[in-house]
Amino acid sequence: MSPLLALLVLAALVAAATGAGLLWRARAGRVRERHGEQRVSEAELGPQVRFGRRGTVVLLTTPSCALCPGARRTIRSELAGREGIASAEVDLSERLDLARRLHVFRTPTTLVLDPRGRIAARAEGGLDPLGLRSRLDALATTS
Amino acid sequence: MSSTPAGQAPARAGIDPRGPRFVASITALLLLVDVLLGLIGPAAARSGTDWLLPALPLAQRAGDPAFVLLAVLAALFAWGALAGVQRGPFALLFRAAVRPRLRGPAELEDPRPPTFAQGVGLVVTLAGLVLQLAGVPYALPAAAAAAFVAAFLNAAFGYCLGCEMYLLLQRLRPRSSAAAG
Repeated sequence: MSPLLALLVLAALVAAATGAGLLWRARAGRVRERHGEQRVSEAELGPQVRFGRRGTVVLLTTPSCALCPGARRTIRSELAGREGIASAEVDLSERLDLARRLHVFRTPTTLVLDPRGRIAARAEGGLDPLGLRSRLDALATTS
Repeated sequence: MSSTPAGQAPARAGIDPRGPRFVASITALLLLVDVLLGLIGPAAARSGTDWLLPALPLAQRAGDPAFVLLAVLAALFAWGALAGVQRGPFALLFRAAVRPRLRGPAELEDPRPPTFAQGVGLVVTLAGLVLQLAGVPYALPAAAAAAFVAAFLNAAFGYCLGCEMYLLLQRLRPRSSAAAG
């Protein structure tokens, strides 16, 4: 390949990687409302898990997840001072059945459950604090 | 990590998250140079209408500068994957020369995810080296380009592609072995 063509390929590679990064940054962590009827149960998440009276925030992690500690902090600080909202954390590397059923490919994935366990919102690849806050506010007014 | 309840085992020592990104910046630059060397070298060359690479003796496939540089980078990935991402040579450079000039980090990070990602980088670069030895045209620059994209996303956006591969790789494993693990 001629050096000039090779440099053009290089420029295209850098441009494509930059585009992918910008796309990822725009989408990561956005908390999206879910209207489906997909549910999870307390037992499915773990023996200690009890849903909150108004709702539950579930953090799905893996041991190699770089953004999970940040999502954990976000959940902790957004839940502080709120009544009736429980939280739970599941290591998906031990629960591949759950990863398959919920179609989780990225961690952290955060689920906001209504009081009956219906998935009301979901965020992947990070967690936007403002998005989580508005979902929690919505839970507080609808339930 | 800082709010680990007392009484629990102390959290693993966190690392400055800028360390892996510094390492990724240097790695990305070297990988980009390697893609260029690969594209202008025998991996992407034709002799007449045929690919040049399969016609070359093994020593020349391995003597390609792109091959040598990628072998060095694979060794660096292996170092980071085995010793931990915070103990590779560029990480030591970061700690000795860069970090003292920076303010303290806003938060510390678990070293396991970026260390796992070093292993993913090792697998990708090794695949490129093996395929080049096998005489597959374009395999080496393609592998270097894939590793470049991952390192670039980490350096420029703080996005660890290799870390997210973990769940994907686990999910691709057959159900029986996954249930056992």
